[in-house]
Amino acid sequence: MQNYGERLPVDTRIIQRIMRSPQMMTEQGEGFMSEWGGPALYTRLARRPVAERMVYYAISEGHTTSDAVSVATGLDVKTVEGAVSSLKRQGLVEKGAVTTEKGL
Amino acid sequence: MKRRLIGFVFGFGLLLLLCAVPAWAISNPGSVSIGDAAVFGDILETGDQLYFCRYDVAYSSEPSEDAEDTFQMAIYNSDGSFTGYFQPLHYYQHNIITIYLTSSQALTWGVDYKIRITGHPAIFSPLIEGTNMKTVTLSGGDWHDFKDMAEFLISQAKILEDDWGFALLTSTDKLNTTGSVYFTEAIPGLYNMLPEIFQYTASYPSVGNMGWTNATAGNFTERKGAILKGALEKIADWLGTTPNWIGLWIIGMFLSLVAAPVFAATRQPTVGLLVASLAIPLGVAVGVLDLAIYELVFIMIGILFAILFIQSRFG
Repeated sequence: MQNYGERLPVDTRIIQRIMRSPQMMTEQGEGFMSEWGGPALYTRLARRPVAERMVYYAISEGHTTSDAVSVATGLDVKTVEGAVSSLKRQGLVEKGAVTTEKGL
Repeated sequence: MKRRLIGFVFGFGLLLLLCAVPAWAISNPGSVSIGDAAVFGDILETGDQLYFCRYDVAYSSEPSEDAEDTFQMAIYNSDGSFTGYFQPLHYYQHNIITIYLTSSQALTWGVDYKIRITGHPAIFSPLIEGTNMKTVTLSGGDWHDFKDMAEFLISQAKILEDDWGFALLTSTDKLNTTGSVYFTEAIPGLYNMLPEIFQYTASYPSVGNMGWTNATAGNFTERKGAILKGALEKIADWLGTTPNWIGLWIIGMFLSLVAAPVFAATRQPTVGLLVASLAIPLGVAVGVLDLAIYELVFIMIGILFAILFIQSRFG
């Protein structure tokens, strides 16, 4: 995964167009954007702040503490914790998926 | 006084509504870069040009505004003046875009024009190189013959495919349906330019128009000889018509002369018509009638027989 989604390689309008075309979806197969968790998730996260997206992909890669996420992404711990809270509110991350010093 | 104040406030509000313009809240991208710029010549006609650019207008969080409204590709002269040719981008992030110029619009081949990916001047102010625009100057190696275009585009598709993380090419390096959609969107007319780079293409068989010489009809017409031809021309001249009409009348009279006694003897109109119709090929054979008239009458007799047959069987 490129820098935990810091850079978006492709416009989400392209992804949405492929998703609307059965022929193009069939052509892409099951592995369609597997690196990004699938086209729907990529589209959803592309509109979110970059810190939230990076934290999401770091968590989905297996980092379970805010310190580990911070080291992996290069974001400071405070930013990571803010992003985790926001992701939890949106239902993108489950409670307890990331532990912090404050026990979030 | 109060009424005047209310009227003033209402009028001012109305004026604000009339002068309302869409507000653009888009921020500068994280970066703007140009991966490749190239020009191809003699594509659909001699002297036309295609200016190609692979760019990356990198937004870390994708804007809600359409890229068509906010960014464009433009061609500038080497002195920095605008050539007048530009094309709005279809997409943000990593993608391709082109400008096609017909032979009458084409710029001077091989000149160091500047290709620029830039924010819309009305939305991004000021425009700053490296912040909301990127410029590259074309060099000698960027100008290509048409024969190099297919290989170049396939290599560009591979670059996009690797970065985007999904398939644009088939295993035989042809643009698949997804690749076809985005490449034809960036390069209108690509199906006509390079049909061989697509996995699926539609083509139409070319059917040439027949060159009718009417040689056979001419040969029949010449059969009447100089004496008969002169006679027909003189009668036609006297009656103020053409020799063809005279020939038709003569054969028509002959047809009546034959049809009448046959009908009198047999009392069968079909038999009368059948026997009399032999006069028509006779007229064609001696060159009095045009071959086209024979074909026309033949078809009419065929229809007539069909009607008589149907009437006799089912009437």
